[in-house]
Amino acid sequence: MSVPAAPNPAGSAGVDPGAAVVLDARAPGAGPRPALTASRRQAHRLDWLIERGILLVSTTAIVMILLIFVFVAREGLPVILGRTDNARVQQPLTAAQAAEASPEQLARYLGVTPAELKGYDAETVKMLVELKAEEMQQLDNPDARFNTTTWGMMLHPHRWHDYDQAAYIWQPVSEIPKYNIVPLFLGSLKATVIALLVSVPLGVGAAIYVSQLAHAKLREWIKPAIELLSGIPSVVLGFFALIVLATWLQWLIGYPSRLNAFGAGVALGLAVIPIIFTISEDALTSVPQSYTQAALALGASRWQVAWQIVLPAALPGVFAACVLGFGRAIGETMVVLMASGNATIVSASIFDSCRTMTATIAAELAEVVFGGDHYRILFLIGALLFAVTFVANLLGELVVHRLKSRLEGKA
Amino acid sequence: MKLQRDQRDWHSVVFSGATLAATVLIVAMLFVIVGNIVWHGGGQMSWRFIFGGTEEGCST
Repeated sequence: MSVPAAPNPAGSAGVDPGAAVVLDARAPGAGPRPALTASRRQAHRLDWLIERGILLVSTTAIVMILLIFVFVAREGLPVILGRTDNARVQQPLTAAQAAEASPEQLARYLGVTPAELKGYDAETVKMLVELKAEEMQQLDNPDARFNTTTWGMMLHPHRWHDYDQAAYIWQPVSEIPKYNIVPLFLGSLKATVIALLVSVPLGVGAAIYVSQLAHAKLREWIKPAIELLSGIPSVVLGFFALIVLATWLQWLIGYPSRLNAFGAGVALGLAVIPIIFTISEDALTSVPQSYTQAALALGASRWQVAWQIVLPAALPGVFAACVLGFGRAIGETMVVLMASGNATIVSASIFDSCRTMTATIAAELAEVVFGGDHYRILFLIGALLFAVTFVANLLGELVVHRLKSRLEGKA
Repeated sequence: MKLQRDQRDWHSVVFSGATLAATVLIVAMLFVIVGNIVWHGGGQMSWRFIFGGTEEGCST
């Protein structure tokens, strides 16, 4: 929130001879400029140095984020641009067709380089063509003719051989690799929405209580305790969710699958609560005391002041807290990897197991062939995660800007 | 002159109670997580566990 500049009570000139703005604003006939003392010059140099240091640090941070995004996007670029092809079935060539084909076509058909092909004699080439034809006849899976790395195959359901109906399937290590990313996206979305449904009411409610209603001594105890929650490593939270929370929730609700999106979302909520609480509490505390005092003087209750005066004034900060909470929830890996069940299924039920995009990257990236299709698609998922978080932050920023404008009476 | 309020402000009571409940729930979850770890892991803690070296399986 921008604060309007306070008026200078001592006039515009001669008050602070060391300040550049004031010196420049001097009237033409105001006499010679007072010389800067050595200590002021030193202070100016120090200010300049600190400013440049901050600029350097912030620019470096932005450049590093951009470079990370460029690296992630570059690795996924062949899939993004549709330059990968893992379709395995071609029409087998006869010996006569092989003799008529160009060396490049023949090399591509046999899966060798043109240089390697040049080194083979005619008998070897003929034998390779026959072997290739035999191999193709043996491969009787009709799904092999599909390029499963296209956007269509990654986003739309497909009716695979031996399946009754079209389905969204993520099976990157099967005979025919299937890379549909919809189950992963839905898994991330389910866990994130549940996490926010748990963490936003609890985090904002606790922030209102601590900042507006709690006794000062109690506040000194509660605030550090809740912030301590952010110090618990996510692997410990995941461990707790896997061993304890999942069992409790299953006993309480009675769903069949112990590890599911609901349990993962609740555990994820525990990781998000400290972020939402801390930022919301700061926003609520920074609302001027005069607002509260004026409302109390008019006879409002503590709750009315908190709900109708302080919360609307702090709404941009509270909303920013929720956006940051969303970013943490969708990017969190360990908790969902341990507590979600990791089943790549498309289901509307929150009590079914799910698998998130982050958990998939964490579980599979160490075991893929470097530079292969699977590797590239995992990077594409990383780039998508980046894009989702970026768009969410951008929209959040726009909403915060509008809320601020409304609060300042500009909109 | 009666200085007390005629009616209890139920909105205030309910919503203040809800925010208090949210706070208590969060703090309780923290205690449950930390308590659970301490309860199950505390028994295994010993000076030997922290400072003792490996005694088996390292001989050549």
